[in-house]
Amino acid sequence: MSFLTVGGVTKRFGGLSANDDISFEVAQGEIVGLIGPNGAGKSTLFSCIAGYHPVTSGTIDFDGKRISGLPPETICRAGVARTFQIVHVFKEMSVLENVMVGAFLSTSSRREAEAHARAVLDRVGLSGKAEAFARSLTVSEQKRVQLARALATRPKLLLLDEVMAGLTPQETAEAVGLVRSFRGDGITMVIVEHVMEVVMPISDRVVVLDYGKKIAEGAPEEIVRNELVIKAYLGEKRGAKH
Amino acid sequence: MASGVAAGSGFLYARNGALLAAALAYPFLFRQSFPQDLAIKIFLFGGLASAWNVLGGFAGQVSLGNAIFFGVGAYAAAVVQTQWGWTPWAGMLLGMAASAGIGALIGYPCFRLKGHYFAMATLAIGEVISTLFMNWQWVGGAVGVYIPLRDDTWKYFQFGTTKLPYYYVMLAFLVSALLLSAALLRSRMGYYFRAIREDQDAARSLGVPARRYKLAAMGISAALTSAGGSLYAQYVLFIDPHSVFPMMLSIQVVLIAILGGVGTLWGPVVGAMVLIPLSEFTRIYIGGTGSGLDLIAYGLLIIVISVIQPRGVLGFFRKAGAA
Amino acid sequence: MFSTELAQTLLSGVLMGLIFSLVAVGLTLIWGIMDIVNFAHGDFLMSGMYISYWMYALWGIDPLLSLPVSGAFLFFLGMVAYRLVIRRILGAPMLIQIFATFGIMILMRYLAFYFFKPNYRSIQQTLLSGNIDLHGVYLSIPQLAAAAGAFLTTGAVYVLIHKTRVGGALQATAEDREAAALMGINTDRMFTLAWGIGAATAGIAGSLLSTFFYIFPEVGGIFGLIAFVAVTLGGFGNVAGAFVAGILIGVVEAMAGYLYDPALKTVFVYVLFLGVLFFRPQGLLGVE
Repeated sequence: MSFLTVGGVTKRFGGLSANDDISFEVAQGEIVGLIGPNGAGKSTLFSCIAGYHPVTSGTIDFDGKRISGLPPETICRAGVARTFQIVHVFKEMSVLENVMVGAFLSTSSRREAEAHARAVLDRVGLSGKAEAFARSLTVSEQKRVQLARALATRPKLLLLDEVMAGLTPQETAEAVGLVRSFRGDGITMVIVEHVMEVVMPISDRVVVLDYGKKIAEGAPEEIVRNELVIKAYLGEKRGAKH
Repeated sequence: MASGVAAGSGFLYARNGALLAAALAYPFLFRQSFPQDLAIKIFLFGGLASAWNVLGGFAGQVSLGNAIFFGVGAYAAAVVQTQWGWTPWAGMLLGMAASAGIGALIGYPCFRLKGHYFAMATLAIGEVISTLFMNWQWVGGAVGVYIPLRDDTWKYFQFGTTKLPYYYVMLAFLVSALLLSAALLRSRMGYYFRAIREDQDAARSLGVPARRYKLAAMGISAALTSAGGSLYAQYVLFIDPHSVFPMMLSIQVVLIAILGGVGTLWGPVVGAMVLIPLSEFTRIYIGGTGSGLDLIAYGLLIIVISVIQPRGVLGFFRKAGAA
Repeated sequence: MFSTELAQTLLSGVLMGLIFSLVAVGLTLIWGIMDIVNFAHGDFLMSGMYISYWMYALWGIDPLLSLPVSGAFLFFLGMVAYRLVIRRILGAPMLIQIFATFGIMILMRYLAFYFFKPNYRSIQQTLLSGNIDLHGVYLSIPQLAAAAGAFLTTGAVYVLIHKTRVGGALQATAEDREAAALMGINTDRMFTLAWGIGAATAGIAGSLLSTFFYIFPEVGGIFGLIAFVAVTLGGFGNVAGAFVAGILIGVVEAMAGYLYDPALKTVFVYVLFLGVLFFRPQGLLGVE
C-alpha cells in the first residue's frame, strides 16, 4: 500500500505552473529521490506536501489521510517533517533549544524534550555545539540543526530539501551514512537534490521533474540512462554556459 | 536558560531571596512618601513591561497597543464600584477576562499582519478604543470616573493614610508577572513562543500551531496588563481616558523592555529601575509641572537609546522586531 | 437645503483631503524608499505651522510668503534628522526604528510645548481671507488657497519622482538598495534627500494649514496618524495613491462628522485604516 500519494498535483503562481499534474507514490520505508534541474519545481512540490502552499488542483494523501489543504502544523502532527532548502534556524536560540522545539511535539515535559533532543543531537554529531547559539554555526552545521529538529518530531515521513548541497565530500559521506541510518528506524524519506550523483546511491527509486512536469520515474540505474533525463540536465548545462 | 541552570540553582534561589527580602524591607527603611511612591511605580511598570515582554519579547509580536488592556483593567475596577457597588477585586478579575477576550479579538485579524503593519494596527486600535471610551457616557465619558473615597479598607482596596498596602500589592503584581514569565520560559509554551518569534514558518513545520500560541501570548499579556491597570486605578482613585489609555503608555512599556533587554526575564525590571526614577527625577528637578522639559529629556533619551542600541542593560538584545 | 449642506460637506472634505494628501505624500516617500515609518512626520508639519505663525505674529509676514521659508527650514531639519539619527539605525530591528522616530516626535512636540506653551493659537488676518459664495455653498478662501497650494506641491513632488533623473535614482533606491548602489547611485545621499523632501512637504502643509487651523504643540498627532492611514490606503511608497487616499479620507471624515457625530469622525478614519490593513494590505489602490 502506498504511504504517500501525490495525485495529479498542479500548483500555479499567477499564470505560471510550478508543478503540472505530478503523480507518484512512495511506499512505507522507501527512500525516493526527487531530482531535476534548477527551477524544475522540486521545492514547490515539497512546500505543497508540507502544507505551505495550497495546491491549485490534485490531492496529496499520507498514511491513509488526505493532507492536501491542511496547515503545516497539522501535517507535521500527522508525521511529516521537513527541512528547508534555505536555512531557517531559530537564530537567537541555542542548538539544543532549536531541537527541543521539535521534541516538544511528543511531550510537554521539558526534561523529556531535552533528553530526546540531546539524543538526536548526538546522532547527528552536534552534541559539542548543543549550548551554542544557532546563529554562530556554519551553514552546513545549521543544515544539520534543521535535520535534527525535524528528526526530533519523530516523523514517519521525512522531506529533505537539499540537505547535502554545498557540503564537502567528507561531510557528504557522513550525511549519506546518516540518511541510511534513518531508514533503519523505519523513517520513509523523500530527498530533493539538485546534484544527481548524491541521490542515486541512496535512493530506491528516483522521480525526475523538469519544467514542473514529471519526466521520468524508476530505479536509479534506469534513470541515469533515460534519454529525457539526460537531455534535461544537458540542456541546463548548455544553458549555463551561454 | 541553559546558562542559568549552569550558574547553579542554589545561587539563584539565594539571589532572588535576597532581592525579595530587600524589597520587603524597603518601605521600613524609606518611610517618606516619595521613595515609596517611586518603588510602587517601578513595580507597576516593571510588571507592565513584563506583560508586554511575554507578547513582544518572547513571542516577537510588537504590540503598540497594550494601553488598551491597562485602560480596560482600570475602568473595570472603577466602574464595578460606581455602577454596582462591587469590590474592585472582582472588577480586576472581570477586567482580566475582558482584556484577554479583547486581546483575542484584536489578535485574530492582526496576527496575519507582519512587522510594521501589526504594530501600526495595534496602535490604531488603541486610539479607536480610547476615543470610544471618551464618548461612552456610562463610564463617565471624557470626564472620567472618581472612585468613591472610603476609610482604609482591603475590601475596596483603598488606603488614605498609608502607602504600605499599595506597595506590597504592587510588589506582588511584579513578582507574579516574573514568576509567570519564568515558568513560561521553561515550559513548552515558552519554547514555542520563541520559535514563532525567530521563524514562524520553521516553527509551524515542527508542529507549532503558531496562531493559537500567538493568541495565547496576547491573552496572557492582556490579562496581566489589565491587572496592573486595576491596581493603578485603586492607587490614584481617579481615571479618565487620557490617563489610562494613552499611546505614551503603550510606548513606555516597550521602551522599558528595550532598555532592560527584550525577551529576557529580568530585562523589564531592570529597565523600569532605570527609566522610572530617571523620568520621576527629571520631572521633579527640571520639569516643574507641565512645562514639557521632562518630556524633552525623555525624547532625547529615547533617541540616544535607539542610536546606541544597547543589547539591554543586561543580557542579550534579541531581535524581537525582525518580523 | 439638504443638497446644499451635503455639497458643503463634500467640498470641505475634499479641500481638507488635499492637505492630507500632501502630508501623506512626504510620509509615503520616506516609507517607500527606506522602509522606515516616521512617527515624527506630523511634528514636522507642526513645525511648519509655528514657523508661519511666528513670522506672522512677530513681523506680520503673511503665511503665503513664509511658506518657502518653512519648506526650506523643514528640508534642512529632515536632512539633519536623517544624518544624526536615522542613518545610524538603518540596519536595526524594526522596534528600534520605531523608537528612534518616536523619540524625535516627542522631542519636537515638547520643545514646542516648552517654548510656545500649550496655548491654541491662530492667524487671524491673511492676504487671502473671506468666503466665496457658490449658490449657498460657502468656501473659505484661506482653505481654498491652502488646498490649491497642497495640490500644486503634491504635483511637484510627483513630477520630481517620476519625471526627473533624481527621481529615477530615488525610485531605483526604493526598488533595490544594493542594485542602486551598484549602478553608482549614492544611496546615502538619496536617503538624505528623501528625508529632506518628506519633511519639506510636511512643513509646507503646515504653513498652508496655519491660515485656518488652530496651532498647538500636539497638532502633529492628528495629522501624523491621518497620514499613516492615507499611506496605507494608497499603498506604501505610492505617491499617486497617497494623493487619492488623502482626498478620500478628507471626504470620509467630513461625511462621518456630518452624518454621525463629529466627535467620532477619527474613529471612522481608523476603522477604514484597519479594514484596509486586514482586507487589502497592498493598499486600496495598490497592486500586489
